[in-house]
Amino acid sequence: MIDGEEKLIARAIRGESSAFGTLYDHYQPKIYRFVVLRVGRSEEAEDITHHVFLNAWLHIRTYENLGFPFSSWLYRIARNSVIDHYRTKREHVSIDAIDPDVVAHPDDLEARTDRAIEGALVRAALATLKEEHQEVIIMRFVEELSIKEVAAAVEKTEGAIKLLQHRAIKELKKKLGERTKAKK
Amino acid sequence: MDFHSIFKQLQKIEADPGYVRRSRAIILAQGETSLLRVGLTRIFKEVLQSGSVLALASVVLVVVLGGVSAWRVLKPGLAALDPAGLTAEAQAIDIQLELAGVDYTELVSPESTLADPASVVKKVLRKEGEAPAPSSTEAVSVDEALRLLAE
Repeated sequence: MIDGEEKLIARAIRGESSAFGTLYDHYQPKIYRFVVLRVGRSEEAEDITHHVFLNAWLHIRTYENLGFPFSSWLYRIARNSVIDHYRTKREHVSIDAIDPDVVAHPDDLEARTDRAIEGALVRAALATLKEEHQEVIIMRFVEELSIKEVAAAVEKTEGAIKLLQHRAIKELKKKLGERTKAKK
Repeated sequence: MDFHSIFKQLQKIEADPGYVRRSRAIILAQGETSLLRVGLTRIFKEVLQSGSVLALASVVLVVVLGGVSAWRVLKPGLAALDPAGLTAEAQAIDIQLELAGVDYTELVSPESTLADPASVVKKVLRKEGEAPAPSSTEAVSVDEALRLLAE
């Protein structure tokens, strides 16, 4: 959450584009990451992320602070956009196809190490999980959102999120085990 | 496998900076136009709404005022068509006049009683002591009072 976020949102609601620009700068990387890990291709993730923020900007008057942060509202829009994306387009490319040079910092040397291979394995395993398991893992462990924020974003109770998180981790470990065995 | 470090590594995923710049500029530009359009549409709707309210209020005002005026104009005409009503009204007017007369004779000041023939008679008779003052103000006319004064 940005300092003075409520004021920024209020200014954005009044139509100040600079205020929304600040919100965009802060949340765009997070939303993009969430989307790219869900859809697996950077081009599609860019399109979806663009539409998420465009929709957010056009409908910012409808945003009401109901006790959860602005980020949850954005994740909710992103989540729905990804669902729409899957609904309208059946052809998917595996997350294995993500080129680390495109999605990561160009100067990220770690991407070329063994850890990068592990990362690719995790991303690939993640892509095979159920949608809701993917969402919870990305939001909780990559984006480090709180249980409350995730619950608000996916419109479930906090108890349901804790349960989903437990099952998602268990499932991810299982899938990773299968993939590691397959690689050997 | 250390999940924590892998997830940390995933946090380094970023979009192409060129895309971010373009997307940001397009979103803010489109948003401004659309918000302006939304703002104008909203203003137009509000103006229409308040205009409708004013028009409705004007119609109600005209109907109410017109109704009252029409009632005032039509009321005598309607009453004239009813003979029984007319009679009752006439009787009511007579009673009111009589009562007004009574009030007048009772409330007039002593100084102004000279104008009243009955008072004059009273005074004259009281002075002469010949006859008691009349018990009713209705019995003496102006002519009689003058005749009495002349005697």
